[in-house]
Amino acid sequence: MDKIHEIEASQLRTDLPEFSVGDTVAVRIRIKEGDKTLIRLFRGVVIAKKGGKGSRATFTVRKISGGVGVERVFPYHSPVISSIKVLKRGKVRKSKIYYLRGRTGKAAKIKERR
Amino acid sequence: MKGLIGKKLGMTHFFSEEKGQIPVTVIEAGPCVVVSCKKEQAKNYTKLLLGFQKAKYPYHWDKQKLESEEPVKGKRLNKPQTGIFSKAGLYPHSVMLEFRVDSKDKYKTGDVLKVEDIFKEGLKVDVRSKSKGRGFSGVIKRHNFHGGKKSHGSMFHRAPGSIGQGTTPGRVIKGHPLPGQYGNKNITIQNLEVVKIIPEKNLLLVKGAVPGAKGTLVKVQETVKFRGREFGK
Repeated sequence: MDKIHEIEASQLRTDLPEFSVGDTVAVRIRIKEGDKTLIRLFRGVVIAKKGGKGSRATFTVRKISGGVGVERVFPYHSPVISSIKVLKRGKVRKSKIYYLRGRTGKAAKIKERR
Repeated sequence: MKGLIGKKLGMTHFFSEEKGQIPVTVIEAGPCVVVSCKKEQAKNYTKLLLGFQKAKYPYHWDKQKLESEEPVKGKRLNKPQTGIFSKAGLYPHSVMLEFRVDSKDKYKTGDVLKVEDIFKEGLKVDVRSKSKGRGFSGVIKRHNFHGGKKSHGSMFHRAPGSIGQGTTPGRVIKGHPLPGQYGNKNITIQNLEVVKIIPEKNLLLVKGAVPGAKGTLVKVQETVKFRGREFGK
């Protein structure tokens, strides 16, 4: 293993749960405001996972906030993420469910996986 | 300015608690050996010579003497270059660079300088290295000209276009952007932040990009922007 891979491997997080595309997750993020650290919640559907198993891996969470779709990309291994909770497992056939972007209401519903 | 010689290993990213994801360049800096440190009377500065990366043993050396040494791959130095090292009583190193320092008291010939001796996390450094060579390039690559349309009857594609006026002034203004050699030139990037030091592997993680390909030799030193002040402030 070369030295750059060693640096990346040392930063991998193992404390976060496994989840897949289509799952509904609650991501808690640490935000620094002055001297205080706040924790913010971002709850939504995982619509994409990128970057494989490396330390550059990211995932995109989409939620509907006030009738407007909001997407946020999180680096999976970043210390900014304080916790991830999987609320629902979804059954999807694509690895990137970008088709949700054009849908609202019942059409945007994902079947639950058991 | 104190500094070290190193080798660019490539880029990656580093996660920090406060700043999140930081793009970093990994530099294998040191260990460097002090070849000499003396005051240049005529130029009025103190010159520190550092050696980096052991060279292959010289031809005229006694092989038996070297058996204790680990075999070194790579280039050999010539006799005059080897002489500098044998005078100082050191093993020949393939790279030798000069640094300007404030006083010669701190450095003794034969001292080995490591990353943790020179740098601290959060400090600002200047990095000097040779940029990637692009050969003889046109103005679009070299000077970021826009160029013309590719089609729709356009007959102007990647040419530099007009390079000046007519009879007055009757010459091309000096420094006018034109095609020519691009890259393969020493470039200094100032004021880069040291994100992390890994002493056991001699690694230095610097925020941002550094000129040159992977494996390029780099000269890392205290930034000139903070001369005379405690750096990092």
